[in-house]
Amino acid sequence: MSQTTTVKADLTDIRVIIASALGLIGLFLVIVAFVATGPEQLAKTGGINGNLWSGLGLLAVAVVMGVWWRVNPAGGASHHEA
Amino acid sequence: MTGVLMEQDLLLNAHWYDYIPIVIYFAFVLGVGFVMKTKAKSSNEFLTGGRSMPAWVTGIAFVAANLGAVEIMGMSANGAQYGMPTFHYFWVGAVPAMIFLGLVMMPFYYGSKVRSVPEFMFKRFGTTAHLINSLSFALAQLLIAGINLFLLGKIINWLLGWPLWVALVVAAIIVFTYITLGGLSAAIYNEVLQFFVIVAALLPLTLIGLHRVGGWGGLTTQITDNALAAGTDPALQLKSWPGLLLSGFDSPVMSVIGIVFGLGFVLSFGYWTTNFVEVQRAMASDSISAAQKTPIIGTFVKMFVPFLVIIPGMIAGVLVSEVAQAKNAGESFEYNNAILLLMRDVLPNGLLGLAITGLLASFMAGMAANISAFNTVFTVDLYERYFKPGESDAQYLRIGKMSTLAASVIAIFTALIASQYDNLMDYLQQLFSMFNAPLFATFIVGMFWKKATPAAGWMGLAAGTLSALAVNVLMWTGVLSLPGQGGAFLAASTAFVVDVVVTIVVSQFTQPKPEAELRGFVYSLTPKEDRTDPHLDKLPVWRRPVPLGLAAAVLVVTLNIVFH
Repeated sequence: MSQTTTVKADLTDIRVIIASALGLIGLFLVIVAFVATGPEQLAKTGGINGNLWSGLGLLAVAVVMGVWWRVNPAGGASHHEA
Repeated sequence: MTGVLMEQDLLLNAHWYDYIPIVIYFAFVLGVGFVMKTKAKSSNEFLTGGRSMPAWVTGIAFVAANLGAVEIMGMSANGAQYGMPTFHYFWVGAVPAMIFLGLVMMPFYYGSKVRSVPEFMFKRFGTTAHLINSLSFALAQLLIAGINLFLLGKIINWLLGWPLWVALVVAAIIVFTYITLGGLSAAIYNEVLQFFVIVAALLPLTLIGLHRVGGWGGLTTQITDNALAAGTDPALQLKSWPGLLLSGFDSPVMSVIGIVFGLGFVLSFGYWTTNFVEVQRAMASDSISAAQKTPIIGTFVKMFVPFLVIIPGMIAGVLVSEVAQAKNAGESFEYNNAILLLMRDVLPNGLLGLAITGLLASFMAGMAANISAFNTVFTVDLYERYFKPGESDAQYLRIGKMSTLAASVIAIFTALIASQYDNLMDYLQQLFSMFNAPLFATFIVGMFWKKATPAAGWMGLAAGTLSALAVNVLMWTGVLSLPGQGGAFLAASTAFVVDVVVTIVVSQFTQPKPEAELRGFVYSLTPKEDRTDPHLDKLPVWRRPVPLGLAAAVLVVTLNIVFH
């Protein structure tokens, strides 16, 4: 395997896939939280806006994955110096 | 088990927008197949992922490949019914074996450069043992893929109202598509994605559920009140040890011994250390140390999965009216549905769609893991080894893809059979599980004793498997009757002991393999540099396998103390 010291940020990296999938789903939940939260839904959760908090949580995970990918493209691979 | 529902009485009341996360997720699943196409150009890349993945990816895949229907529905059902002793399936029944696999056995699997666990068997013990191992494994995978597909089809039928056969065909086509395009890399990437989606679905379920019952304190108070009202001891559900409900023994001492040795040793070591579905994930990693860390990183994930499946089960046991009622009255109830009913009661639409996505993802990944392990064993261990050795790589790649297609089609038919004959499938699954404990015995003796001969290898395997069968026949016919998990413990222990004894005895009378051929396969004949990572000293201490393994061991003991 010919690995170089600088690993290029690769769009097929699993972290990009996770960030975009979770980011989209998070966005979906936040939108649902704003347009479809009624008393019936709040009764199920005991007053918590479950969609909003879960959506924000997913967006946060997406951001972390994205930042990790930008900052450290090699992302835990064993030996890039080899 | 057989209920096929009509549109009007679906289990969950999904709105149209609950389909959006499902569509997003499956678009990504198929997208991963296309993206990974470039990384599956040779048979080696297709079948082994080209040994290129970082340990955290394979570590999550290691756990996700196992996080299927049985784990999510079954373990939440156990949580609802038995409470905290269910933790043992994770903390005792998986974590020690995973650490052992990483520290002790993985250097041989990865260092010897074999492409599958049966191939290791071939190099160590020769043809007969290899045939027993690869044929039983390949058949078992087809069967289990079909069972996973059936459960997936059933859940689609329940949640979305699609006819069973449509669900089976659509699911099989999706799995076939991304594996044929991207091979093992695509399967592993999708397992990691699946894991995040499942956590995203189950974590809100757990937290909102806890909020509804008044937090952890509220949950334990209600379980205690209900248990006292029903005249049972609440400690049975709220303390993980001695776990009388789980082991089925009346004596606490026997129960602890049964759980530690039966579940923690023979059953779990047999399953985790030789099962190629799991080990294959580690073999796709990028170095020996990454392969070793795969199951060890997996333990950190595995330790916390029970909080996302067992706790929701326990919540369902007090919060969901049907479950609580059946439990308090001691009526029989399909506890496997507990987690679905909790989703119905506490998740708002939107999150409900995500929860359905998570369930579909997990069931599908289970089947995909079976198929990606099957196509490797079929191509490498059966086709290349016995039918057409020495063909071009392009031909093996083609066979890898053809066997993926064949397995997907066969899985549809197995699933249809499973939908008609529940019991037959249960028996067959038990039958294949009888290979686990003897396999572990043969592998561990073979790895550490150079005098174990090829003849001893297959005879030990055969004798061990037959003795497990004998114990099971005695139990099926009612000659022997043991409570709870006792029967499974006894069968596995017997198989393990018989296998070791037969292997040692036969080795005294037969010829071992020449030592030169055993390099890489037996501890005393493998130079240290063959089974350790040459760049280990460049890794920071906390990223080395042994410190990580110790940390996992300390953490799992701590969890047992906190939740005893």
